[in-house]
Amino acid sequence: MARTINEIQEDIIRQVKASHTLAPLNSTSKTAVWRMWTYIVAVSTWALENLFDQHKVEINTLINEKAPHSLRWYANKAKEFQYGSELLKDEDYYDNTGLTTEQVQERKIIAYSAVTEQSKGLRLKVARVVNGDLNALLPVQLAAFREYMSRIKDAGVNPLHIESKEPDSLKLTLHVYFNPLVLNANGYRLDGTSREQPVRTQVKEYLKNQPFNGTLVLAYLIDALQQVDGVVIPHITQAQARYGDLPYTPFDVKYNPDAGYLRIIDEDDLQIFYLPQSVIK
Amino acid sequence: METVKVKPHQCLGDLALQGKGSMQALFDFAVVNNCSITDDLVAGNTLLVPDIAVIDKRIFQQLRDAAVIPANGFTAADEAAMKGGIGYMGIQIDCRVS
Repeated sequence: MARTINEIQEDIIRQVKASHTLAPLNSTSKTAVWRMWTYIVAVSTWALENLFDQHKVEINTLINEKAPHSLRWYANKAKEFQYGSELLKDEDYYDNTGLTTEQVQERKIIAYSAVTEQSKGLRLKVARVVNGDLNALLPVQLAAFREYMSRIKDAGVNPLHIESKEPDSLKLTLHVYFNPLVLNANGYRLDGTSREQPVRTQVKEYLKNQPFNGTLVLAYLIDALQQVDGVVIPHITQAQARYGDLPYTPFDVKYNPDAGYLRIIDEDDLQIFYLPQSVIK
Repeated sequence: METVKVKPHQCLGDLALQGKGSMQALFDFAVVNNCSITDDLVAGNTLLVPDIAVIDKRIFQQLRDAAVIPANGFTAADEAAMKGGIGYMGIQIDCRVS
């Protein structure tokens, strides 16, 4: 990491002061000739240090580009996809000259990607962000993305399953033992600071903040619910999930969403029973 | 990204001083414009200004208040014009063989 011009100059001045032979350079003027010279040398050194930094960045990029394609490479490459841009001929990147950074960002529609290895080929899950929440790609976007991946993927990676699905659906039944001084029997705050039921909001927020392709662990969800003001004991009595058109399957400990993320799709899927409970000492 | 128009005889260091108040921004300018720090700039060209905060606000403001445009660009042609002499002459430019 390059030092700043000031740091280098101070270093030189310190050396000058420490040196016996340079003792005659004792003018305290800020524009003393010797001090000007230290500045000139400092700027040259600073330029050189910066060039070394740039060089290091360039070499690192070269090394990374040469590295064999790992699962991470696929995941990162998926995020580089630009909807509506043409790839450079025989290359796996875009020519973005003439486009502003904002335009490029707008074209990068894929916000999340996850790659898993299968007995045959790879499975690539992707999702975009719509109105602050994850969502599946539109069919036309998915078609363009498939073409992009088929052009840049390694030869022999066959099949490369590319998926962008609607979220898995989660059904939860909760028994929440609440503090009657903070919440009412319907789960709303007594002080009226929020129109939503805090527990319901927390469940949805928790699902939103899950990492893409992360596992939902019920024990962690309980920990999160414990943080809600007024909740004494959160107890999950039933948890079910499904993907596609399959029937709901119950799970006790954890669930790995097939689409990479899961949501409460219908408000009725989240059933919360509120039971008053004074604070346990 | 913000842009700046190059004035005659300006070099990248001048633009760094004018736009961010310090030479420290020199490399940021070079990186965003994909050029070398010692490249001769062409007056009238538009260059990108890097997305960083002003480094030395005092110098930035002083230059702006005094409406000073730093222009220390010194090209090979300028050098020849100033120094002159046979070592700096170009055939058919200022050295005619007749």
